[in-house]
Amino acid sequence: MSSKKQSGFTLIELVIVISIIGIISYVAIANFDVSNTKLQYVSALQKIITDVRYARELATTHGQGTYVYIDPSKNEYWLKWVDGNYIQNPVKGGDFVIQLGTGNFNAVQITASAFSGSPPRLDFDTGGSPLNNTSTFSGTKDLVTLNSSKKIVVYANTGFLKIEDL
Amino acid sequence: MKICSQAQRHQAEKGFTLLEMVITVVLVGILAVFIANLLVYEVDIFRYVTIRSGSLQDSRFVMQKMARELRQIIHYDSILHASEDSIRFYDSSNNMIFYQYSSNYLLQNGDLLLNNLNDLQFTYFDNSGVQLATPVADPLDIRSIAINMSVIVLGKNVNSQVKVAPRSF
Repeated sequence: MSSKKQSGFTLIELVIVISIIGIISYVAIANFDVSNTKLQYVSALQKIITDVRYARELATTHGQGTYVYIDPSKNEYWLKWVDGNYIQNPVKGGDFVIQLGTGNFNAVQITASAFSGSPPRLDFDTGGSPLNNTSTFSGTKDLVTLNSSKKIVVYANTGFLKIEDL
Repeated sequence: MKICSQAQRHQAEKGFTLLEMVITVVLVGILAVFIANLLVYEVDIFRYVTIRSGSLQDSRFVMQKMARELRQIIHYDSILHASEDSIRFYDSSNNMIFYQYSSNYLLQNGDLLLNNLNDLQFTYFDNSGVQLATPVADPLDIRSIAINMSVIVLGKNVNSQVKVAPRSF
């Protein structure tokens, strides 16, 4: 008699349904993994471009050349004055060494650089023109490739930087 | 047994009805959409600020670079050609420099210096501050040069201007 009259859902039923939905969405969101892939590349590319522009700007404003080391084997890059001293990191202080593949950039891997030297090196002269390890080049050159999917390209003489897909 | 007593009905309605559930789910849905919109908005703002500051950094650098090179022109006859969208001159180390604006790009000696430009104009003034018609018939008349630049940053125009008098003039 009373079972025929039960027209609503009971609290237990609701709790079960909601917890199942919760578990499914948790797994789904974890599989999406948005934070660990696309957003990381994009912000890492922006960060590298900003830092290299900073090195270019310093070279022109201080009248002293600068260079950027790109080290695919250590997955890091660093900024130095032409005399070999580190440029100071204006945000965090200390030497300007940026380690990728850890923390917020744990999925980011430098896979290649077309610049010569070991590690590969991009110089800026006091006019802000880029050099391939102290010698001039023409056209464009790939500064850094991230996760074999996107790269940053440097234009000869002007030092213009651009993000391109591979 | 169609007519139920008050007590019987109370006992029967132990769970939520379908209507109550639908209303709840719809309300939660509306709330979720609202909150998701807020989150997307935050990400958009961050993206906008990041890209904007990068573009501004780039355009400011280019303006400073051009101003510095123009300021270091050594003699009147170092300017070879001066028009609204291009200028060709010898810099202080006697290298020829050719800035040219063409359809959204600014080129230096044929290499890309800046993209996403909406407009770029060179204007030239003689020794009494009068603007010269372009292309300047006699570049020897030029005493100061103004650069107006308009950069497109995420669909919006950002304008900048600099006026330079070569220091040796």
